[in-house]
Amino acid sequence: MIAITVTVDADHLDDIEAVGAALRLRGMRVDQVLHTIGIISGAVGEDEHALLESVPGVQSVETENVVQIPPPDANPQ
Amino acid sequence: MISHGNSYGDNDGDNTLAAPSEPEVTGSHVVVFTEGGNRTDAAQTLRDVAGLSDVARSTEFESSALDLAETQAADAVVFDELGIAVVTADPDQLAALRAAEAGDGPVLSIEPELMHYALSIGTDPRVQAEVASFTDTADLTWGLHATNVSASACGGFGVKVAVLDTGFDLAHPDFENRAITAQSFVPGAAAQDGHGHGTHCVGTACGPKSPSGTRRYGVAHKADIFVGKVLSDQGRGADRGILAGIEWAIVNGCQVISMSLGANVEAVSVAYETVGSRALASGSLIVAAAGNNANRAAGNMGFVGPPANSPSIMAVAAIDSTLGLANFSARSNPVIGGQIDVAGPGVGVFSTVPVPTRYGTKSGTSMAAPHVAGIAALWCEATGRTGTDLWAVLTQQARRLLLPSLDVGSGLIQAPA
Repeated sequence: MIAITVTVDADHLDDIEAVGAALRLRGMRVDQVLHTIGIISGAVGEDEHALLESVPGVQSVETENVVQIPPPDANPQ
Repeated sequence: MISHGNSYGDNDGDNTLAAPSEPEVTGSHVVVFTEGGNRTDAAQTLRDVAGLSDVARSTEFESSALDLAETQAADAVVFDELGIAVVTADPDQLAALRAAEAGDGPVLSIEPELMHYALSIGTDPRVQAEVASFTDTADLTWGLHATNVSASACGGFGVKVAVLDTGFDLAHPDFENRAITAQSFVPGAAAQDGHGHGTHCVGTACGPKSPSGTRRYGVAHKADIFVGKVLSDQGRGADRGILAGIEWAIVNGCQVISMSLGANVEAVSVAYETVGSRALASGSLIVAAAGNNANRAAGNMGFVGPPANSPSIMAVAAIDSTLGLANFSARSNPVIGGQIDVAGPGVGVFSTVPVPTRYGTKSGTSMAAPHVAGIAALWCEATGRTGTDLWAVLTQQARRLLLPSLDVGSGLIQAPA
């Protein structure tokens, strides 16, 4: 499974739960649905990744990034 | 470009320059009409108020392109679209116009018409004279001095500022009696800061006006503080936690969201750009550190990564106490939105760290971003502006620097009076 971030388009913000349900049907594990900003986070198998982009209401599917800031005493921060 | 009076520099390359000189006037005057005055016919006003009878009007010319050769003999030339006239008046007529300016009448202002000249290349010594070296004093950090926070009457009263980072030391004595809402988006962790980065950023953005026993280091001392822990005590966090923190901050009505974090990726993230744009539409301005991936001394300029490289998220570069660019401060990159928007103090920044140490000095664009976030809160209080309107005032009011805009955008962030 790959962790992903799905951005929901402006026309489907009110129906974001339905978009989430459609994503589940295509094999996505939905971990969180952020209604205000229109983002769905979760994970998907490598083979299903491309399938998700054709779900109505999906603006983009991106691989999740991880941020790493330096340890406390490092310079610069 | 044109400038008033003498040109700056004399183009001979020695960088010398005359001081501001007496303006060279033409003898005519520029009259600005109030909106009402212009609507009620500016030409008629000039006749009624000052007896100026020979009035030429821009609307009499094709495409309003006024031919000045044809109007040389006129007492006045009215630019109808601008609500402005240039008048050649005798002393009595001028006095009559000045009397009209004094009341609530149709005339807003009267100024002498000046001669302008093309600007030539040179260095304005006023800029160089101002490039001083700031230092921390017993009362104040250099950064608060350089950004005029110390002289501001605002404290961010009524403004909610979210800092999305490693959390905050909720037991820090400098924040007793402050309104703090804390929430963790890191699974299994509380909002308490076990790293130090978040406590430093919160201190800069929202620290107190008069901390006991040390200098002032914080900007928005009256703001309501929202601490979102989106990075673990090891300084690590995935997009989902950061995005959840942004959602939480917007839902809670935070007008300013500070994020001293980023990834070493050039491409813009659709998610962060969309979220930045939706945040602005909701009245929340997201400010992000540009990144520290430059090593300029070694010829590496670095680049702005996500989330700061989103067009709708304000990217903050770091400058030092001589108003020079920090060696590590990332440069604009060619992707749309990859540019630096403003700069903030980011070298040798004194602020809070978790107890028992209490205070520490850190460097990084991570330290510059919370300066901008705190100052955004001051402007929000001062003007009532939020979102894109708040963004505009921050860049308008930034102090221009003798550094490439690629590196510092509009310049050093400045607090309202």
